[in-house]
This record gives sequence, C-alpha cells and structure tokens, in this order.
Amino acid sequence: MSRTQSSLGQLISNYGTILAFLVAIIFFSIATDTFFRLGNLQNIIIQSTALGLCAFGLTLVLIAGEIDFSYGGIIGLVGALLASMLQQGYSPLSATLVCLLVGGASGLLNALLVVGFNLSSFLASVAVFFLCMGAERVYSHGVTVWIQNRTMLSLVQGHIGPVPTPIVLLLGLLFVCWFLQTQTRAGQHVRAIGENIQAAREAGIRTSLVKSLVFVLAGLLFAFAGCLETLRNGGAIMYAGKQLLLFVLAASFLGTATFKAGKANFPGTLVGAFFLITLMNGFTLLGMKFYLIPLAQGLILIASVAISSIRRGEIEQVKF
Amino acid sequence: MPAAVEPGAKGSESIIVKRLLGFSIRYSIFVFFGLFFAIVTFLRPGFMSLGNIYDILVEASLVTFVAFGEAFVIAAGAVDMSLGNIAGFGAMIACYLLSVRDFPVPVGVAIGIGVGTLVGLINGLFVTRLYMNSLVATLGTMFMLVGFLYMVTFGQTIMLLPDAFTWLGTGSILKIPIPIIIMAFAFLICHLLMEKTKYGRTIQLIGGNIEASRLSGINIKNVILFAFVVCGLLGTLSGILLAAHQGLANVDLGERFLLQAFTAAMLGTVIFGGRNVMLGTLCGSIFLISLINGMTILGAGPEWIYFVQGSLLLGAILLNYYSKRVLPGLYR
Repeated sequence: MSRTQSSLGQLISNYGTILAFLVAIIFFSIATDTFFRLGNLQNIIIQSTALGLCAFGLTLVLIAGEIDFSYGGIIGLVGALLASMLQQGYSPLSATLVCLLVGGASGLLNALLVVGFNLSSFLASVAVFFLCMGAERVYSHGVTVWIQNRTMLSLVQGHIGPVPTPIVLLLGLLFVCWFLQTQTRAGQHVRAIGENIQAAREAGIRTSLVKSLVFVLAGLLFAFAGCLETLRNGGAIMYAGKQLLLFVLAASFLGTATFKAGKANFPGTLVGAFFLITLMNGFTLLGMKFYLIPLAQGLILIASVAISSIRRGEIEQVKF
Repeated sequence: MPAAVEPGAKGSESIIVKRLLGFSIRYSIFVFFGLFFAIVTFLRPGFMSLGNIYDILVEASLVTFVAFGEAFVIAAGAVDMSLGNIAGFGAMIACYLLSVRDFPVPVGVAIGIGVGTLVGLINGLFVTRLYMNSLVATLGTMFMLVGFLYMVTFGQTIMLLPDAFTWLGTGSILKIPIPIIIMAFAFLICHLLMEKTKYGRTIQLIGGNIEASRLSGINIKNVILFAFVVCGLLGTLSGILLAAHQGLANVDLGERFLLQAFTAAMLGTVIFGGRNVMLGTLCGSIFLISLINGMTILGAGPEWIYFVQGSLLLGAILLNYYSKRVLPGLYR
C-alpha cells in the first residue's frame, strides 16, 4: 500500500509540471483561435531560445551543486560587445568568437574564485555579475546600438529547411547538453559532484577540474545566449541580462520540478522556459490584464516546486 | 583545498604573529576606506561637509534597513529574493490607504507593515513547512507580488501623501534626519537580537551547521520561520520609510535599493568573518554608498556604480578568505 502511495507521489512530483503545462496548452488552444497555430507555436519557441540556452548554463552549474548568477551581467556585456563590433565593421565570425571568449573568461573567473579560492559560488558569482554589468555600462556608455548586419540577423530570423534557425539551435543544444550529461562519463561526474562532493573525490573524480570546466562551459552558454538575445532584440539594450535574471532562475528551478523531482535536468529546464513563455503568450492572446502574467508565473513556480520538494522532508539551505 | 596551517604548531609566538596578520588582512578594508575618505576630502573638501555626510547616511540608512532584513535570512542559511517587492508592496498599500482612502497615518502604516510581515510569514512557511528551496520560493512570491502590485495600483504613482507621513522620511529631530535616527534604533535592536539573545545565537548556529543544530534538538523550523517574518517586517518598514522620503510611491519602489541592499547584506556576512553580521551590514552599506558618492564627487559618474559594487564585494570576500587562511579557527 505504502509503496503504491509513494510511487504515485513520485509520479505527481515528477510529471505534475508537465501535466500543468499540457493543461495550459489545451486551455489556451480552446480559449483562443490563434494560440494553436504553427506560427504562434514557433513564436513561443523562438522567444524561449535565449532564455532556454541561458537556463541550460545555469542548470549545468546547478547539477554540479553550485549556483551562478553571473549570466545577469554576461548577457548584457556580450550584447554590447557584439553590437558595437559589428558596427565597427568586424566580421560576424570574429565578433561572435570574441563574445564567446568573454563568456568563457567570465566562467574562468567564476571557476577561479569558487574552485581556486574555495569561495561560496553565490557570493562570487554575484560579484562577477556586478563586474560584468559594470563593464557593460562603462563600455557602452548606456547607448543602445542597433545591429544592421543581415547575415547575423538571419541567424535568428532565418530558416534551416522549413524550421526557424533558433528552434534548431535550441533543440540541438538541448540534445548535446542532455547527451553529454547523461551518456558520457564526464557528465555523470558532474552529477556525482553535485550529489556528494566528498564521495566523488574519494571515488577518484578530479572534482576541481570538473567543476572548473562546468563554470567555463556555463560561461560559454551564457555568452551564446547573450548573442542570440541581442540579435532577437535587434541590438544591444542596456542591462539586458538583468531583465532575464529572474526568468532564467525561474526556468531552471521549474526544471528541477520536472522529470527528476528536486534535481536540475536539461529537458526539465526547457519545459520550464517554454511554460513561462507560453503563459505570457497565452494570456496576451486572451487579452487578459498584463499583471496576471507574473501572477500566474509565480503561482506555477511555487506550486510545481512545492509539489516536488514537499516529500524531501528537510529544509534545504543556500550555501554562502 | 588550501593547505591548512596548524594553529599552535610552532609555539605561541607564531600564533601572535598570525593573529596580527589575520587581523590586519581582515581589517584592511577599513584602512582602504580611511585612505579613500582622506583622498576624496583632500581633493574635494565638500565631501566631508555635514550636508554630504547626512546625504550619505540617509541614503545608507534606507539601504541598510532592507539589508538588515536580508541579513537575518542569510544568517539562517536562506535567501529572500522577494524583499524588494515586499518593501514596495507594503509601502504601496500604506500609501494607497493614506492618500486615496484617507486613513489616519498610524493605521495606514500599521496595515502596510502587517501585510508585508504576512508575506514574510508566507515565505517562511514555504521554506520550513513545504521544504522549498528559499531561492525558488521567494522568487515565486516575488513574481506574484509584482502581479498584485500592478493589480492594486495599475502601475500608477501615488502622490499627495499626508505631511505627517512624509515627515518620517524628510524631517529631522535636533537637526539629525529622522531616517538616520530610525536606522540607529533598528541597528541597536537587530544587533542585540542577533548577538545577545538566545534566538540570535540559535539562528547563527543553524546558518553555520544545520545538521549539528538539528541534532541538538533546536526547533529549526520556527527559528527560520521567524527570520523570514523579521525580514518581511524590516523590508516593509524600509519601503514605507523610502516612500516617505521620496514623497511618493511607485511600483518599482523597492527594486531601486534591492541590489545595493543585497550587496550590503553579503558584505555583512564577510566583513567581520561571519561575526557581528549586523554591524558588518551597517558598515557594508555605508562603505558602498560613500564609495559611490565619493566617486561621483570626483566625477566618475553613475556608469561606475556596478563596477564599484562588484569590486567591493569581490574585495571583501577575498579578504575574508585570506584572513581565514592565515589563521583557520580564529574566525568561524
């Protein structure tokens, strides 16, 4: 008896968010004529691209048992760099490479502080977040730079075959991340470190190396997300990362309530990002008051995470 | 892992040297600020004028208030992302009652504080009864508060506040601005609560080692719950003070101070190496505000604010790391 009960509870905590997501999709499809159309669905995915990619980076860090807020600064910094380099006539490839390099360097800084100096990733990454945001502000002088380069813009507006490019990028990276994390040895080491670093170390995993790699990879993902967000906006808008900050957190944590209750995972994160954007899209199509959107998003976040964590039975602390 | 230095391994003399070294590393942040004050005053004598000092302290007191709330939650090993919105929400409700519904000032303020404290209680229940990660639970509350705020006010700015209310933020007693006085009282109460009461020691024990405190039979749930309630209370107080200071309330009232308050609270956790967090928070916010003020006076402009904030935080956590490394065990 107790076993069926517990497996039912397990089922609800693993798939409750998916169920709610499906219910929301069905509701919006019935309530509006425009929601369940290919164009609109594509739109939702395209809008989720930067959010999703950035949340992948955060998810990777969460799997390793740390946290990283630096994306709040990296996205904006990378955007400012990309837009102004393109304006100054650098080739799209070199501009993108510089952006990725900056993202990787910020990740390396995080890694140095957290792994090298043994600092709390919460405090260290918030400091890096501020530094990147400061660098963005000083570099851009607060001016919005628009992107004219057609080749670059086609990256978010173009199609590969019949499918819009961002969708290919998002799903492709989901597959890569998921594959690397679950199917390779290195990926399993990341999870092992997040579960129990002491045990992982004793099992012979080079924890410092793996954790550093995680931060650098996350930095690269943040920078990539920053490029896409900038291209989607058509230019570098001041503090673009700060605006995404909370949504990325929300998507990643919705992910912890999906598929694997209480544990960060990539498919869950993608569902989380889709869910947040779908709510925004559906409520807008319904002509609802705009303030109902954050209300619904907050409610969903609390409900999903509560369902997945209530079975934990002990208080989870944040590491400072 | 850094190589741990065994205290007492080479006799008592080396302990004294290390202790001195650890001490001077930890407090070099004060030396840095002493030098900074001296240089700015030398270049721009107006920096140390009474008017500017009051400006710095008033601004710092608004930040510190929010930061005290966060410091309680951080001490318990949790975090409250919704604090800025709690401040805005409580203040908006108080101002709405005062300005639109013509409530008497004490009643309106009391209701505002009550609502904010209730939100803190709800946050605490999410974390301690539903076992939610505090980061997510308060993030969810934050989203919902944003929705509620717009629902109540439609994004309008509330002005025309009664004079008795704005006096709280702009008046002065014996030529000392009231926010500074209120902040001094708040600091005393929070500091005593944290350092001199059993509750304060318990909360620091939980923040330091939840497993040990669970084994020692402390009612962890209620201690953490109470920290969230205090956080909501202080957050709302600060929001109300802020609205009184500005003479108006708008939806992004609390967000303006949120990041600075977070920074101050985090500085508070490291300036004295995990001890005297309230004093650390107070120092942190005064440092932060005077650094920004001083740099603006020197002509650096607002674009350097985040850079300054980040460098200060990074510097403080690195100092904390080095002073701990020189002499482990001296500080928690």
